[in-house]
Amino acid sequence: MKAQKLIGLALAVLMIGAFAATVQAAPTQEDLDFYKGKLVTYIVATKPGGGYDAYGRLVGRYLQKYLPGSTVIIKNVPGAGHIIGANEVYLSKPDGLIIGTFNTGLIYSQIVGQEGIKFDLTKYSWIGKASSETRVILAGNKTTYQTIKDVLDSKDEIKVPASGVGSQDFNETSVLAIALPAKFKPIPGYGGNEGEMAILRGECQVIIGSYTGLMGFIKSKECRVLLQFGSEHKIPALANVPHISELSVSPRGKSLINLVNNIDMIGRLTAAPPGVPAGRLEVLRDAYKKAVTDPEILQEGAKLGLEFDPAYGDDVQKMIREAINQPEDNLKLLKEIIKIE
Amino acid sequence: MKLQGKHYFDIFWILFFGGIMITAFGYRYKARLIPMVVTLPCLAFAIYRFIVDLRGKEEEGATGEDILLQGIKEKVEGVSLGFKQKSRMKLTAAEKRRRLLDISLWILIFLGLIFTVGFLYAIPIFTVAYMRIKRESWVLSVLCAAGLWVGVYLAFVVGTRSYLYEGLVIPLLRNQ
Amino acid sequence: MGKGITGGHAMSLWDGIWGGLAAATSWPACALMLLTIPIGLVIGIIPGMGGNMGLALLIPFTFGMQPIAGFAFLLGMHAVVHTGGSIPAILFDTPGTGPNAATCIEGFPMAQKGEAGRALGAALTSSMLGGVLGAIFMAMIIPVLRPLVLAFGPPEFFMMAIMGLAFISLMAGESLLKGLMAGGMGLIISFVGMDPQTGVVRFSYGMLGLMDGINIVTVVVGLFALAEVIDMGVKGGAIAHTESADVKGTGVMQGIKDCFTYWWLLLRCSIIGNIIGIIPGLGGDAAAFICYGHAVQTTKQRDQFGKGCVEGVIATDSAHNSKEGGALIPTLAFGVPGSSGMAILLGAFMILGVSPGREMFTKHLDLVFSMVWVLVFANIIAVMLCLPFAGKMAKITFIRTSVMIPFILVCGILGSYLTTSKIGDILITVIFGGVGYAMKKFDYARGPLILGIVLGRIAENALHVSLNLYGLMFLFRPITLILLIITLATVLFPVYKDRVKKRTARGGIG
Repeated sequence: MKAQKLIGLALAVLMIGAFAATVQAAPTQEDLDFYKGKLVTYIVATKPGGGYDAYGRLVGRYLQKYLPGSTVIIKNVPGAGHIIGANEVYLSKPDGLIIGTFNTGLIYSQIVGQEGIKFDLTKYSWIGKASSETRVILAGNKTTYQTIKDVLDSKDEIKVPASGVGSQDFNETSVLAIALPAKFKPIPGYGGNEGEMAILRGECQVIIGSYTGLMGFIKSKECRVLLQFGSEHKIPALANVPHISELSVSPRGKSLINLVNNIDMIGRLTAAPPGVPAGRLEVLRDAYKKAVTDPEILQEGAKLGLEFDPAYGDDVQKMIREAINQPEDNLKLLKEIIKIE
Repeated sequence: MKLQGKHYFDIFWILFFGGIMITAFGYRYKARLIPMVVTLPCLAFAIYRFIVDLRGKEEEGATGEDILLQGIKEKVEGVSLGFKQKSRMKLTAAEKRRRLLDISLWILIFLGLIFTVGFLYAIPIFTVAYMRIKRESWVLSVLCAAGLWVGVYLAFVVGTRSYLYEGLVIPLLRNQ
Repeated sequence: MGKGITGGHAMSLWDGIWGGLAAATSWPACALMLLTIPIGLVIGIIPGMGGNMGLALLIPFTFGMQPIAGFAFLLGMHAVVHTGGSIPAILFDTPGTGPNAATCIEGFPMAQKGEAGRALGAALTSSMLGGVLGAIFMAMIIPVLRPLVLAFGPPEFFMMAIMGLAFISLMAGESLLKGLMAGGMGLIISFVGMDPQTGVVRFSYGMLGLMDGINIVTVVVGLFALAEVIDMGVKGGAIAHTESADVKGTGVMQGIKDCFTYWWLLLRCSIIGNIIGIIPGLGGDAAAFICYGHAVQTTKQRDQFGKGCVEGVIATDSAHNSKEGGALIPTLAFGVPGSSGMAILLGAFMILGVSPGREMFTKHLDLVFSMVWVLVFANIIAVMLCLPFAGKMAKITFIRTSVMIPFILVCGILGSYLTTSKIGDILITVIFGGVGYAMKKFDYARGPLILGIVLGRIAENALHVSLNLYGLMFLFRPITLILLIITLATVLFPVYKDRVKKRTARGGIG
């Protein structure tokens, strides 16, 4: 009698355990073995040589280390501002052998319904992201803006250089102009590092861009850093610069700032096509996590100037969903700002 | 009036600028301003050239390349020692057309190979095929193909770890 | 933080120059430089491998190096890429890198005339001298650097682009209308893609691959290399239409001599190239083409252009090396990279512990000059390495087409693909191969088309930005006005000269 009860209990425990295991989709040995001897294609949505390519190749090598028996190769699929690469990842066979990395700024493109997009960012099988892209607001030395408050209080129009209508810096400038609010007027046509020269010449007063991209300019002391955003907390190098979360803004402003921040926080993302079997996805996520926290990758990254501030799987999915699911009037506003015909 | 090659080319220019102009019409003002400023006069020039070519006599053949060859001839005659211009067969128009078709076809074959089996297979296959059909020896053909292949492999696969397009067939075979 | 060699306070120019020399020739800097110069040459020679690829490959090795050693390592490679790139441009009409496309225009016809040796001699020598002169010029203007760079804004870029485009009228050859049409097609091609001013994707006809526009290397490879392949297929023979290379006046020595015959042109183009490099906003590709146009403008043998005129090679090749030196200036002075290669270098410099800015030019002047010296030495050494082989390389142009056609076709198409990593681009290359062949056959100059592509977008964008910032008044800025006058003079002067000639002939004078 007692034995039967014990067996029953044991069985019940086993069943619950098994059920829990499948719910968590813990990688089975079978899933791990699947990758032995297989070729994993890591699609990079840019030409070789840029930031995404650098991260892709570095992470790819360590991914290979943690997917025993596999070979990870990089496939560059550039074009249309990462859209072509993102499309290719989305439409690939979801067998767990194809993953890719592309610009999170595509969120703007999806919200606005850009022509040619074949993906839905909320449906990718998210693996993780490697870093945050800290962004900064700078004022030129020639201007009178000493702090961010000066900028916010300014009665004059503030010209901000942007590479083009619909580019990430253009979109961010326009969104921040409404969110903060500030009298930013984006001036399109300053590609590459032209915007910095515009600040030097005094044509424009403020520039908004990525910290690493503007680092040379910042170090040359030709400008003042007024605000930082794009990462959850202040970064050590900018300890004295206010973070956007410290500003008091309207509720609508807050949701718009969240959009901007989430996009920037999900830097160097890695995703797989929708529908990858849960077990294999878990193997990939696990390997990715081990790869980006491996002390050697951090060392190598430091040599190349690549920083790591990772997040994984469901957290990334959550951030993407939050960013895309904007309230109706924000969506309308965004479509108006990013008016591309 | 017999339509020569140059008339077809004139028509090409007209179609090109005309097509661009029609497309640009559909864009908003700022986007179409400069393209129109460029295309309108060019379209006018193209139509003008077509009319001039239709009315003019058939030229005696003083095209740009003839001037180049003439320049070489003049240079040759001005130099004293051992400098012969390569004895070329005078090619008839029909022969020229056949050869034009021939080289065009070969280029398309190479493209076809790239799109089916990718660069790493297309390069040696094409090289050997072309050289053999043009009656080079097996040894030379295979040597050249091997040389090109090794060079490409070392420089781009090993050296820069670039991804060389694999064509449409190879990935399908791999996923079996 | 990499300190300046001699210490903390502002340096005199003299100290900077000598300090830099000492640094550049020190160990291990000079050894590292010798190591990477051949790498740079090879990367330049192989079409499709750009200088940026080389930088990306080398940067990981610089970790832990002293700043001077790191600069020597990276700059040694970077400075000589275009030198190598001229070689396939001359021999096969296939540019090794983007700016070498300008070398194809005169360099390849010279090879066709059997003058490949002369072209190579001229190209290599002018690359070297251009790089050296550019470095010297750059050093000289350091005192007036800041006002000079900051004086050029979008209005000036617009006017410079228009001035460059006006050169189309000079490059048109026999028929001005045909040249204008070619230029027009080039301009349209440059407009393909997303317009930064409106966000409208123009002329892509739904094809995503065209959304970023059409790369100039894709077009140049088709227009020149593939058109030549078709031509060779039709005519047979070899690249060179002449019998042998051992003729007086066609060899490498002649090319070297030419650089000294045309020394004034070389000097002018080095300076112009350097200035274009210093002023970000014009794009480095434009430097070689603008200098080519300038050469056409000022030559005494204009009818020779397009048929293999050595002046064209000297002008383009001195410019493309001198501009690299110029691009260092905004990078070091303001932390604003002058080109994408410079952006990578800037990142590397900062990792090595160097901060750009005013301090570079006061306290750490010797670091700046060490880079200048590295540029000088690298250019000289690279050419010394190549010249002995130039004669032999020229002989390639005498190999028969059944061997050369597969070689050029493969290199050209592969190079075109590797430049953009988009397989669809090889279709564009082939289409332009056909167009280029037809243009050759029916007397349309191809130079204007290339010039249109290089300058079109820059001109349009600069115009809209200028109007946005200043309204129509932008035309009255002093430098803009000067450039406008030069442009009008360029276009109208030949017309005026012709009229005078006709009048004198009619008047029966002399």
